[in-house]
Amino acid sequence: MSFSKILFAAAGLLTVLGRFTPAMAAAQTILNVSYDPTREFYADYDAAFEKYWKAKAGQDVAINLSNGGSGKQARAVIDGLEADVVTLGLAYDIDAIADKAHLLPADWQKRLPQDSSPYTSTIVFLVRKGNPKKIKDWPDLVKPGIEVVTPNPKTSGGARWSYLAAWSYALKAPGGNEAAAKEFVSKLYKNVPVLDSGARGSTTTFAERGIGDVLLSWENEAYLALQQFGTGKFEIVYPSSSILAEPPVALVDRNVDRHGTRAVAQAYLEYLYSTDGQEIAAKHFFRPRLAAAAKQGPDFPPIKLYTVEEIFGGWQNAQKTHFADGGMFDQIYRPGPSPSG
Amino acid sequence: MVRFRFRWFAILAVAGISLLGSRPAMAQSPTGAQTQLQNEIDQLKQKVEALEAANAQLQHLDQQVKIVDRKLDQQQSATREEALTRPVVDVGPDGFFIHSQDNSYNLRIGGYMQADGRFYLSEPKPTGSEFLIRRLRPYFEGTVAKYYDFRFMTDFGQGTTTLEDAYADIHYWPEFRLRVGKFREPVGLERLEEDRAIKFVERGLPTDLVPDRDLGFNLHGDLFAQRVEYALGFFNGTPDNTATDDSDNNDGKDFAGRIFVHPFADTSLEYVRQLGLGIAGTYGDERSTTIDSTYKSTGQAVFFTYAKGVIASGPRYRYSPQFNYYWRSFGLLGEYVQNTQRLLLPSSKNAHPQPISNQAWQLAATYLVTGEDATYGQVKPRRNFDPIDGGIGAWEFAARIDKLLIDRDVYKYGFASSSTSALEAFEWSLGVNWYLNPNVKMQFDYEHTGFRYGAAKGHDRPDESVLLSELQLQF
Repeated sequence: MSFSKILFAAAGLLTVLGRFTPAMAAAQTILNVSYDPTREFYADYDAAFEKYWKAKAGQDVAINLSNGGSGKQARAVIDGLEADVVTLGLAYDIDAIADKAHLLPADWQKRLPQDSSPYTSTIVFLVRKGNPKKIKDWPDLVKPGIEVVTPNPKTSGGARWSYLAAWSYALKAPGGNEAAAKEFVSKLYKNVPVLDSGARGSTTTFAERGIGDVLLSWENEAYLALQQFGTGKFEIVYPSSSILAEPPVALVDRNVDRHGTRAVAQAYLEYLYSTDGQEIAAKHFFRPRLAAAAKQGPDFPPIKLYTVEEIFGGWQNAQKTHFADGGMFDQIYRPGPSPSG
Repeated sequence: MVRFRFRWFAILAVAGISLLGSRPAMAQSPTGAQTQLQNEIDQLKQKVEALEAANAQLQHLDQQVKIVDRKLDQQQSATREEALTRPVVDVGPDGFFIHSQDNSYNLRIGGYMQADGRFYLSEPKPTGSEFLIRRLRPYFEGTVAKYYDFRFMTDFGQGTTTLEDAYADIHYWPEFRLRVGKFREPVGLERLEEDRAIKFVERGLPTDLVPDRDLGFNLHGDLFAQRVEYALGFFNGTPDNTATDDSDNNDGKDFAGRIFVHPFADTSLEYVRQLGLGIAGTYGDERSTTIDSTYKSTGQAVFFTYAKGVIASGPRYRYSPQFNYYWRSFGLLGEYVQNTQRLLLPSSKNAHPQPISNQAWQLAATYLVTGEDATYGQVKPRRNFDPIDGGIGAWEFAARIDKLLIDRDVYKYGFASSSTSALEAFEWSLGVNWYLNPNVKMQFDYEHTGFRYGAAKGHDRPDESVLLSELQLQF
């Protein structure tokens, strides 16, 4: 038998063996680069997905999770952090990855249901127990002597949602217009003594370091704070209106193709929309898309929620107007001494 | 809550003290007593308000401290993150380095100078005794994008400016590295030893027959946990003991290959662990290139020159078995080179290409009397020379014998003249090397070379005795 025939026979045998022994497929590892307040959620979700994938595909999968401010995480991926999936705070940050690093297509958002956003959230106020400063709504945040804790919109997705929520309130308030909104948000940021890079940092500042009177927080993060620090220390206050936050998820195509992890990474994102995934989201105080799963979480009070599309014409416009270099936030915020000083 | 309790405590304390102090006043008339009580209550209120204000101020200060503390935390965290990306600048015995934290990008700036003295003791002197800057070589070397090394080196010694090294080395795997540019062909063992590391002021006679630096590329690497080194290259082709002048005047190219093994690297027997054995060679077909190779003694006097008009006219191949051995302070290096080339003298009658085969060998031994380990690379003293501290540096004795034999047929075919070109050179050397510190070395060699032929009327060229010295400084 010639050498070439032996070679072809061996190749064929290996192919057949590969088809009929999926359980023998090597374990895979994927990296989920996520925004700040999802640590606890993905700890539970990843455990559930690993079991699900083992049962479905017979393959072990290990999921590494990286958390940080959404903008900062997006920049890390652009700069070479090899994420298989990104689960960030807002669509603009994933658009930046597609636009600057060409790691996924520009129409990534259409590839999963609900614009690739498996759950929603919003921005609420977390105050000290007893609400000693009597903070009820947005106008209370701009009063003299009030200290507001919120992360830096340049790095944090949650901070951008908070900023837009404040702007939306002022714009839609009676007599509201762009100038009034700018003045309102300027006053609000004058009451911000320290900016953290991400939502979790701000929670630490407010809850652990005891700084500030009110934390502008992701809704889920606020409930987590109650859970972690006890309901005897803090209260959640729902303002009259806020923003509908839709944190998106996406497959990073060039990385999964390079790593050979497309199938498992795609399944990881799709599982977020399953009943299991939605229930886990609800248990971690997100607002699931699946209505039936919502009963696994708290009964969220009613609140008027504006969308980025209706107020700002979409994230591209919002980013360009407010958060780009030289944008509205740069004009408004000048770091300085504490507002109460 | 704390503030609430404090407030009431303050009120009660002040009220209690006031009441105790006001007993005699209770003996007054009812109207007067009420006024006094009212006054006291007003005073109490003022005191409580003052205490409350002080408490608020304290709480405000407490917040300020916490804010400053938090900002400091953030600053420290940002500094730590920045430190992870900040380049590192390092200066030391091995030169000046700047590199990224993960060393994916680095640059080393270095250089060395060799200031030599040559003093011919024999008569007649083959050439004048002299001081000279043998080599003055600044270089840049480094890495970009983790897997791409580079090196650029020039030489300003002996009144010339030459590009010595200019190459890129791609190394995703240590087993398979690709080097492209101008660099040493992988052939002669002592030729491949760094100029700064050679144990004599000048290399031995076999180096006359091997190529120096050439332009081309080679695939090289280490296999089997560095027990095997190999190199396979393709070059323009350069004459013996010559570096390319950065161009090629013919289509002929040379293949070069070398394999060097350390067969006992893992043995428990210490005395054989550092035995290295190898073989190297080149093969090429050079035609119509004027042969202008000269062969020099170790004292750098030319003792053989090809006749004018001799050209290469056919295949040229070299092969070189070689070895080195190191055991504690003792080192031994040996190599043999055979170089065969078809030559032609077109002007001669019935000119035909003729194979000319030249050979050379050497055996060199060194011993570090101060106890450092002998090495193919650079010796680093255990204790630097320091007259104040009592350090003497490292001292090494060296001895060498070597021989170069030119093919007798060079005379027969008119490729060389017996009255100007010797057929044989046999040399022995004794040397002392003093390594003052990792950056400074002094060498002193006595070298004696005897010749056969190379003088008028078929006589032997006079023996050559020379004292060579060198001060080398590198960074």
